[in-house]
Amino acid sequence: MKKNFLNLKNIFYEINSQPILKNINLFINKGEFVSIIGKSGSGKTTLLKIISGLKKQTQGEMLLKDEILSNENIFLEPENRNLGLVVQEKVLFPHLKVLANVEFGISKEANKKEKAIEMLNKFHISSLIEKYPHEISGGEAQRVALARTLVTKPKVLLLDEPFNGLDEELKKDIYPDVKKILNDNKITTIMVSHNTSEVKNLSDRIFNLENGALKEL
Amino acid sequence: MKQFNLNFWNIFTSFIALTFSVPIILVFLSLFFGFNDNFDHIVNVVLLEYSLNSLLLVVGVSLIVLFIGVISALLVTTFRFTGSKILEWALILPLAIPPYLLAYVMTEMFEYSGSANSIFRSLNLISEDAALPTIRSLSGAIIVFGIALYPYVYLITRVALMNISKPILESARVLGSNNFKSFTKIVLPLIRPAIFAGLALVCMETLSDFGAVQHFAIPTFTTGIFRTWLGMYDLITAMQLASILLLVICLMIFLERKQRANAEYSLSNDSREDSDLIQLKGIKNFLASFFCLVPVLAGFIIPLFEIISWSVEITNIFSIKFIYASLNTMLLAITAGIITTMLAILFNFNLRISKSKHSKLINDFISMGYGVPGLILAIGITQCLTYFDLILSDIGIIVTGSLFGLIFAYVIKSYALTNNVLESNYKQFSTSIDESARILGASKFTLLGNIHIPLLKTGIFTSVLLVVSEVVKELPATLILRPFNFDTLAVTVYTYASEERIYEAAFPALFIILIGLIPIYFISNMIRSSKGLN
Repeated sequence: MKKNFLNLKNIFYEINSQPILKNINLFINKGEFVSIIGKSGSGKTTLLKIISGLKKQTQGEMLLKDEILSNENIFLEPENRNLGLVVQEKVLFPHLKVLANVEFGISKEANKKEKAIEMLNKFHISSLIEKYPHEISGGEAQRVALARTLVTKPKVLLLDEPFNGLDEELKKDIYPDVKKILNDNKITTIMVSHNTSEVKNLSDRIFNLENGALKEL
Repeated sequence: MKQFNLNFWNIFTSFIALTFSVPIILVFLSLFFGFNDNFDHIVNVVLLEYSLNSLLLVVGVSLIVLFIGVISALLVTTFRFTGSKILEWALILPLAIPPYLLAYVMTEMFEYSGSANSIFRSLNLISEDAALPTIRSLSGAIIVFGIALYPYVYLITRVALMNISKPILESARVLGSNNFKSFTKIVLPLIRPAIFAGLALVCMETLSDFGAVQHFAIPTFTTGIFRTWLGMYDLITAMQLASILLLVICLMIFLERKQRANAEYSLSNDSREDSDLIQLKGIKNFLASFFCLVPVLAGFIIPLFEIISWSVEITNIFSIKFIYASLNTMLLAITAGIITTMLAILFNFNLRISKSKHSKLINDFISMGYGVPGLILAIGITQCLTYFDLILSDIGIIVTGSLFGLIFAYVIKSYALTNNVLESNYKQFSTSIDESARILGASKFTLLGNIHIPLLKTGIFTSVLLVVSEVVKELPATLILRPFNFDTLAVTVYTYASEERIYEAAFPALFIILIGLIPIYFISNMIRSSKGLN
């Protein structure tokens, strides 16, 4: 494993002078699966949004390999970071069929259809390609969302309670698929969750986010 | 959904639905009465002109409402700029002024000695003997309708934009879309059904209008129907013409309903917040404010001040005619409001307790009355009342020329408004309340009277007010169905405008606008507090 693939240095974030994140330092290796747990409102989602570029930290620096994602002077827009983000909310584009949803992030690539179907196959949902998001179940929608993100070959995958709301049986089906794909492609992953058994099942390292600070467990 | 059962509630609601549809069925039946010489004359001489003018009007108005409605909705929903907090609700204000009233105001303003020409002359923008182009033309009518009706597109588009889920937009960004791609590939396809639903409503309103096109002397389908009936005294031919227009309107209603249903799949609880708005600065800030301010000025503020300036010219403000017209209007509006609301309560109650697919179909069917032009409804109701009086000819003329027909027309046209309000009110309390009441021994009547009506009282009040504001503005059906010498505010304004005594129309017009502001208050509250407008 190559050290320090993703570096978060002294990250501070505040809203209306209220600190949400205080001096976050996190160094993640290539291919590592890191989980962050914490109470609701502890700032877990905010941290993922900062990493993805959907929010900008108040202070601190973030590097991916040696490239600066964000610091006081530089800010790389989210569309240029090549990171993947999967959240618990329904985020499939409702006007596009499943196949078009998965192709969305690779629209300029050659053989996009084949690549999309191959990824859907890995999640055993290639039969859904002609369906609209409102025609599939919650578990299927979450697999499509994962496939849509993973097909872009993200440098880092950010998961924001992606399995929340799915029943335990379904989770048992999805976990091995996700783990295999992440391992096969050596995708660095950060997952936030409040479900400790889920975290233990998937993670290499676990951190607790409390009072705006990270502590490794 | 359950099957249809023969019980009091289902029989009653089916009977009402049948009564609602009789006037429309009669209009369509006229196509089977045979076509006379008048119809041939109309087809050979004027039908092309009617069709072409109606088409040009609809196309022109559509372009204007799309331009103003969609861009202003995008601006106030995406950006923060000077005055945006006020403009986001002020952009709805032109809805308070019906198109025929705006047409009267604009005509007067652009007359040779009107205020627009006077201002231009005083600023030396035109010479003393020159005048601005007259508004009494097809292009003038397009502008007037565009300004009066763009809020439909603005409102529905704005709600659709507010309802686009924030995580969906964030997903698009993280998947590599820049702002332009996110807009063209995600936002635009998601709001397209809403835009088309708004546009269909505008087309229906434009095709249904009688007052404005008649004032501008533009031969359209509605003026043609009116002339055929009251000029040529040929009700059958008028009904046959009305059938053609009604078919087009039915297509619009179908499209509007279909697009609205499509728009619902994009609704979300994770809509964007105020903090997501992008602050505009410099010239962009000025242009955004200017773009949103112009339609508010043209569609509400300037016409309002123009009418106020007319009222200054009048010495006898509260004339007997005005007082009678106001009393008549309020009598009609409140009666129609109460009847329509009672019907909507009964229909929604039946739907809730029966959960029958047929009850829902009946409710949806009678809600479509809002799209039927007032003029066509008036023709159908007149024919219906004539048949009724013929059956009872031994007793004499009972319902023809009475208030019954007029209230009947108002109820059909306003039912959708009350239904929407009560339907959303009903959704706010769980059906387990009903189950508890029934288990405790309450009959259906007790459940309705002692449980539902007290819970629905805000909705009931709101729906009566909305019907009142709708009835006060209504012109074509009122003009035709009112009893002899029974004037309402809208008819008074129409009469004064026709007689070129426009200053005397100031107070009735102001009263119409004032009451027209009622729904705007409710709409802006709904936008702020919920996403229930769709």
